[in-house]
Amino acid sequence: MAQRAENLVVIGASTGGPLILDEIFKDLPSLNVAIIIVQHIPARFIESLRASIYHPGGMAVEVAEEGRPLMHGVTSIAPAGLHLIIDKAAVFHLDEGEKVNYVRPSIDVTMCAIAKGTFHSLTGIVLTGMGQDGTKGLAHIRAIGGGTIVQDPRTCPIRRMPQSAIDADVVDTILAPSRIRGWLTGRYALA
Amino acid sequence: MMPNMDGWDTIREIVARGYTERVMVVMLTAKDTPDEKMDGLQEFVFDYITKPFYPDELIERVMKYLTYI
Repeated sequence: MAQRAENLVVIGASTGGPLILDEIFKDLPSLNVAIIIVQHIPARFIESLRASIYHPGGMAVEVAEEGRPLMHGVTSIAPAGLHLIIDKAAVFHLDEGEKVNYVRPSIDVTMCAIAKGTFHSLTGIVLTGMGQDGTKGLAHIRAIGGGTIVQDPRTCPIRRMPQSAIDADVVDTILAPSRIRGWLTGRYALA
Repeated sequence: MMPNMDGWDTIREIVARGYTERVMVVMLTAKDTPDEKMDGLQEFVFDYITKPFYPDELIERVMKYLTYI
């Protein structure tokens, strides 16, 4: 039976992200964690992204909805055109606020809105992409006691987003996509 | 290099004409890192492949993206 989330991983991605997410979620089992994906992508392709990263027997994959609680074993994709916020009760809220870092949803907005103590375990991951979205978010996650990972820039179609976080000295671990999958599986395997 | 318009100008034109719900952009470019003039266009660029490139890799990625449509 699904459990309200005590563990959370937030993954932010931009250009090149869909194929990298495919690689991470391929053969990823259902895990004892809620995963959020903030991917910069037009609304038309959100459902295709959802279908692409869903694998039978793996994490359930949904598009996040207003008022829905985060659950272990469920990956939630931020809807296009809205910021995705998680409140202290670990419930989703959608926000039509201004674009941040030229984008909405913004990785920084989602990560920075997480309050300290909301989750037992919290990790932020930034993948390939243009710009600097995610750097402030990872800094916030680290400041409230969470862990931070970026995709190895050498494996990125565009290295700027993870490189920005590395340059800002807010990254704990640098991993290739297959290693990110291994890390998730090792850390959050079901008992 | 493309004549008259560069890749980013082309994407801006696609956005300005409202085609972004039907057009997926994969950039094939000699620049290994995009410059800041493309900030704000990231959601419209699905992938970014730098030269030199493997044609089979380009085809593989495009075939994958066609499943999105």
